[in-house]
Amino acid sequence: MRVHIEGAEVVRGRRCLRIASWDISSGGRSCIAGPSGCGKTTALHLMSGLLVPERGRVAVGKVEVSSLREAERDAFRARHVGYVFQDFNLLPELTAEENVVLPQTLAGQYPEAGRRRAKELLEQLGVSGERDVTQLSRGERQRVAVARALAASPTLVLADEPTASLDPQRRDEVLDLLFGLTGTATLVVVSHDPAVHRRFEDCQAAEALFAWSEVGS
Amino acid sequence: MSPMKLVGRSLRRRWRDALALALAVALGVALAVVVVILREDLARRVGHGPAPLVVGPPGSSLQVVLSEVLFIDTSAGRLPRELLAELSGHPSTRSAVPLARGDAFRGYPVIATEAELFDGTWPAKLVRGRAFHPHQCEVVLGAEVARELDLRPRDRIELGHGAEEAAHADAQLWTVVGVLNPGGGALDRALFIDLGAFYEVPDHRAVIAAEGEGLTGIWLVPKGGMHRALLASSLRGRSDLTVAETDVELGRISRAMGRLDRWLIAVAGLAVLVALLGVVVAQHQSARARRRQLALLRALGAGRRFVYGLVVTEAAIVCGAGAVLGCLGGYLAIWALGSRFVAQIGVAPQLVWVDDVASIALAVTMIGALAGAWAARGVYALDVPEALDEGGG
Repeated sequence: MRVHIEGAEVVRGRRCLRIASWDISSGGRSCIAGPSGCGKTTALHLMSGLLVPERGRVAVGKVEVSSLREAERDAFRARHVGYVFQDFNLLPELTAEENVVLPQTLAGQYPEAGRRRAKELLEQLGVSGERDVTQLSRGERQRVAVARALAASPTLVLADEPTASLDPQRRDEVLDLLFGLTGTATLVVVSHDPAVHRRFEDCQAAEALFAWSEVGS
Repeated sequence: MSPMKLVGRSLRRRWRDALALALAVALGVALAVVVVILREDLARRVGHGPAPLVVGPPGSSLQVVLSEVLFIDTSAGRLPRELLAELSGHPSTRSAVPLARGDAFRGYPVIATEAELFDGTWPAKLVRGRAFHPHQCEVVLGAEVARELDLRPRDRIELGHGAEEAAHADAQLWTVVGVLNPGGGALDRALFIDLGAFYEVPDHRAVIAAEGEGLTGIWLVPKGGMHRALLASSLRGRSDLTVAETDVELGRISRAMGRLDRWLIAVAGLAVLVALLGVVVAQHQSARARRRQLALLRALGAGRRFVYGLVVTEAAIVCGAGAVLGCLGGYLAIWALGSRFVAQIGVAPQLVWVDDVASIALAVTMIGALAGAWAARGVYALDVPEALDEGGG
């Protein structure tokens, strides 16, 4: 799915982030490079519909996410967006497999198909689905997080510093998985790690895309 | 991965908190259930007077009703048997039956009387078998006695002699010949034997030889119209007996119970309220502590209502479990304290189902869910990106 952001402005605290124009082609692999606090995560939240711009528009495919109502954005996120978080953000009360099945349930997919898909993905990633996620290593947790993001076969995969807490070997493994398993989905990764930037042909500096201003100035 | 499974897993992970909360609710509910059961039991015992007037030994009219109508206290003394003939012959009397209390059978009072008690004038109606024959060791059972002790006509029982605390078995066996229709009053919880047979019990003969044949009470049904007032006023001035108007005394007991009742209900209500406040605080804390997890669910596509529903369902489950535990605990407490009740007041409250108990359980569950809903309202206004940015792993 093509992602298009045009003149979007979103206020966070006392600052306003403006994205003049940003276009990611359907099925493209894009990376945003930049230090912490430069607006990378906020941009992902705009794409996923977690944040709505005060001005401008955000479109994913033919859907103008910024004009959807909240419940519609929730449903859009459940069906079309896979999210990999920096700190895994797995639900500790669930097993690895249940964590992977969860987005599929929220997307309204059949439980049996969801379990099958979760098993397949976890098998591919070499993680036992029955295990309690609190007992997994950091690398294993991030692999489960990748599996969860891809479980509902999203058309847009957003990864927020997916390798931040991993050693170089695990970092490359996770990136390989993301590249290998996203298929035709559009992949957007934000990272401050130059080693990650080097893996992308389309890697843009956050400063070139985003502009911050004080609210009221 | 159904929402209920998510709720279950979340509760399992926080099982200590959930259990403590459920126990707090259970404690309040148990107290309320005990109050409700005792209230219902006392109301059942007090609510049905078998005769408009009852005559007992000199003393207070309240004591006469307690011992000769409700059978929950010992008699204050004895009346001469000749008094029965005198009162039966009173121009305002329609019927009179004698009562002699003292014996007991497994906690239930044994009342020596006459077969006229079953002639239709009184609320004692036979549902099985027949009345006892004069001077025969035969017994008619109240409905509750038959049910609780699983007795039926032709069964033979050994009746204790004297008050429950000092009871010892008489040598004679008594044959069950009839069972009364359940009426919900004290008659359900008594055994009835023939007065003549009662006097002929060997242990009683010595007492009779010394004191003469005595009665503990006489039930009187006056003729209609003014006869009740006439009969009562003619007996009221006598020093050798006490006459009690059953409905007046029962009304006094009910009013006294009502005041106590209100206090007990207030205490139980307070206990439930404190427990529910605990639910509010715990849910509020839990929702705050789990902001990031709840935000994560939102980020994965769960709607506000879905996430809010999870939190409220958790509260409802904890309160529901507490309410059920409390109901069981209340009944268990009544059962466990049964022997103490017998020692104190001569009867044990019955473990009957009271509709109010179900209402309490349902109300506590619903209020708990509402308390959880109120406490979790922060979830509804959750700033997902901000909550996701909070530390954690």
